[in-house]
Amino acid sequence: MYGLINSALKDMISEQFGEEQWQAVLSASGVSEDSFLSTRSYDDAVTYSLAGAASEVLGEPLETCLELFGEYWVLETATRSYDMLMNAAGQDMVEFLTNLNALHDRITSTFLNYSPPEFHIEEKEDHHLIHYMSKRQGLSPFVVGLLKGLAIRFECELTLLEQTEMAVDEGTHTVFEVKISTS
Amino acid sequence: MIQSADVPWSELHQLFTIVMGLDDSMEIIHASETLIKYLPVVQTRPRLDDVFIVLRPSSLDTFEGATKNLGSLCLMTAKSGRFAVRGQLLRVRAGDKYILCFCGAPWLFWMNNNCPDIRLAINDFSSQDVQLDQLFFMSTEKRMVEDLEQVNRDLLAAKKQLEEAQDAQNRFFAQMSHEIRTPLNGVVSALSLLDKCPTDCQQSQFVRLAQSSSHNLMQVINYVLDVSKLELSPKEDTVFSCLELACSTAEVVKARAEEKSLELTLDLSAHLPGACYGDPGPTPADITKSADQRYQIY
Repeated sequence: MYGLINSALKDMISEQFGEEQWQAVLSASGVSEDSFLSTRSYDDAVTYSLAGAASEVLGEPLETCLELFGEYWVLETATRSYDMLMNAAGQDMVEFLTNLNALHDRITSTFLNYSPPEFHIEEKEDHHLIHYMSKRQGLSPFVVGLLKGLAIRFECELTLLEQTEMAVDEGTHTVFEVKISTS
Repeated sequence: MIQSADVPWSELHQLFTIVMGLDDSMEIIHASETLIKYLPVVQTRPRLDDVFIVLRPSSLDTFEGATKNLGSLCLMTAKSGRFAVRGQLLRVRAGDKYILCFCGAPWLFWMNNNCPDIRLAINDFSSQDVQLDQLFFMSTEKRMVEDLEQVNRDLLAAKKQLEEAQDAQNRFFAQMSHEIRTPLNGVVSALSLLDKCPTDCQQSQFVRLAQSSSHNLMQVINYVLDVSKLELSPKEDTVFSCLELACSTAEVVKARAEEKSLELTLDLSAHLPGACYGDPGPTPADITKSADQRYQIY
């Protein structure tokens, strides 16, 4: 994954739990680097090690840490660095999720070897189905955090009705059944 | 939308979000949805120069002038100051005559700088348009620069911390060595005096052993002092007393002089100033070393 992810994780832990906790996470992870360059590609193992160590040090389940990180990603990292693009991608949550693949297409042309997830949104009678497909595993809780962050950004109410893991040969395909209502 | 037969408008719309047809009098005879959304006036068939200020190329006033610039990048801002486009002109056959087609997109960089309140959407740019990619790249580069600046700050802070720790350590060694040397001088003097006292053979052997060990220890301490002095930050000029410096140095070498049965005389000039300003070095350790070398000549 790109250094942007790792440095966002570092920022979140430092800002929300303190620099000492970040140092403890770094030490527990066994990752030797303390600084990550946004456009440099790092092994996925670095990110997984940091996330695992965060769970251990903060005494929270990994899923909770990933969810917290997903929310931070939308509300802090993406907003701070890419607010104009976030605005361009949509004025409400459904529009944003509909355009997310197009946004990822553009990122792929800049971040070579970037392997983004795919999102598809289906409108049902009184709810939406959000399909999340990735070559990676174990990041569905991060997506839950992303959705919660987007709900805050677009000032709407999000209710996660059901989460279903679909059988796939490789990676992940999760379907989130959600209710999105304007507050 | 104004339609004109024989022109592949729908194909052009797939590739470009801003499409504009211009007839031979430079009237806007066709406009795409995105253009109409941000500049509704184009639906009234105005002339190009009634709506836009052309920045590049320099001449788009007439159909003939424009056809000479088909390969050029066109940059135009709306006279309202609320929209801008970038693109290229094509000459397209429409029936038995030619028209010009402007094909392009909103001029993102200009819009972000001049109308940041107008939120352009991702769909206002066709997939092949790289302006959003460039915006993403620039945002990432900005973040990258911030990352590097942070790394630089961290490195400077770590360097400063290390230098301060090193200075503190050197000061500690210097102080400790100085503190040890004073009593050690007493030990050296006492051993020298003891050597002159009547002692039996074994006692003399012990005294010589003690003298040898104390000399070795003194050399080690002087070495530590020299290293500490070298590693300490450069001294700044300061006010110091020459008299005190001379006396403290004499005190240090006095025992060594006595040991060699030499008389040490401190002869100070009457013109010696009370206070001096400058680098107080050479330190007592330097002078001591110099004095030691003189003893060796004797």
